[in-house]
Amino acid sequence: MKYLSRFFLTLVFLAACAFFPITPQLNAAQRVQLEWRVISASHQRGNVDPRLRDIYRDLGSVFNYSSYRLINMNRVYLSLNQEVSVPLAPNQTFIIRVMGISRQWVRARIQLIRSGRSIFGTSVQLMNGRTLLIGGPTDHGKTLIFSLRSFW
Amino acid sequence: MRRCRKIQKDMERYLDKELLPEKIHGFEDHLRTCVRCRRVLDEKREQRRLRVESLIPDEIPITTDEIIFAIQGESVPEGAVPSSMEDTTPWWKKLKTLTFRPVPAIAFAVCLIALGLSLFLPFGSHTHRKPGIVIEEIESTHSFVIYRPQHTGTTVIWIVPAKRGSKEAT
Repeated sequence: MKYLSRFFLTLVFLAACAFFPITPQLNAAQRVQLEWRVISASHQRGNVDPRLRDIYRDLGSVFNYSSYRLINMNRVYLSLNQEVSVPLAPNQTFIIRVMGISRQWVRARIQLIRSGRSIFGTSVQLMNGRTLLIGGPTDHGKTLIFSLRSFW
Repeated sequence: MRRCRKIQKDMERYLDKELLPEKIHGFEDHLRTCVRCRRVLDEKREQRRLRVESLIPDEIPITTDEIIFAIQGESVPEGAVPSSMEDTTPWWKKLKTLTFRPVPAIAFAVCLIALGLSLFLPFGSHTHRKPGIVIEEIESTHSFVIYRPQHTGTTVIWIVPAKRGSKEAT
């Protein structure tokens, strides 16, 4: 009985230690790293920007463009309710706002502003490392693709 | 168990006759009742005996300590252990003499497994079965298409540009 109670006490203590928030996801729960890229895609003969190598498989399997060029890219740390403005084209801007952060998900509001007017807005939940692609806006005849990924 | 550990810690001192007189009584009382500690003490005694036998050859009549004490003009105190006989066993060899305690060992193993699982499995999350991206809502003045290729973890939202002269879709 004495040994059994000692066993359970040890078990409870070690289990408490094990579930203590030591994982990086939990430590970084107040802040999330977002990576965005603005990609220009066209049917003209060209090559793929080497900086898009990691997402080219995704792009190639979804779109039938023959050339992809990275226009802009950045990684930012955002806290809850913080937002970042990403210029897409001279009169088009994406605004990303972090609405919630959980252990595995980040909730973000993405808005596309054209000439001061919101033409598209969405609220999404992104799991760590997954890519959201928003395409369609054009600039000088080239299609723009906006890619968003979150990291912890 | 804790008492045994304390007693085993004091064993070297006891064998060296350096244990405080007030502790000796309790120490010996414990030895009388604890078979395990008695066995450990016997082992330690035996180890010492073997070490002494191997370190002091028969042809050398005196020990280094006797020489040192002689130089200092003192006689060797009774029961003094020559410095050459100090416990120099490496710690990893001492581990062998430790007794295996199954209860903490099993508890430790269980917790190690729990720790491993907690690092790699999303405990406490109710959303882990959902796809990698969840679109909660969309407001758009343009038509749009949502595409989720099965083979990638990507989600695509395609905003269909409004044709010139046509009314924007809502």
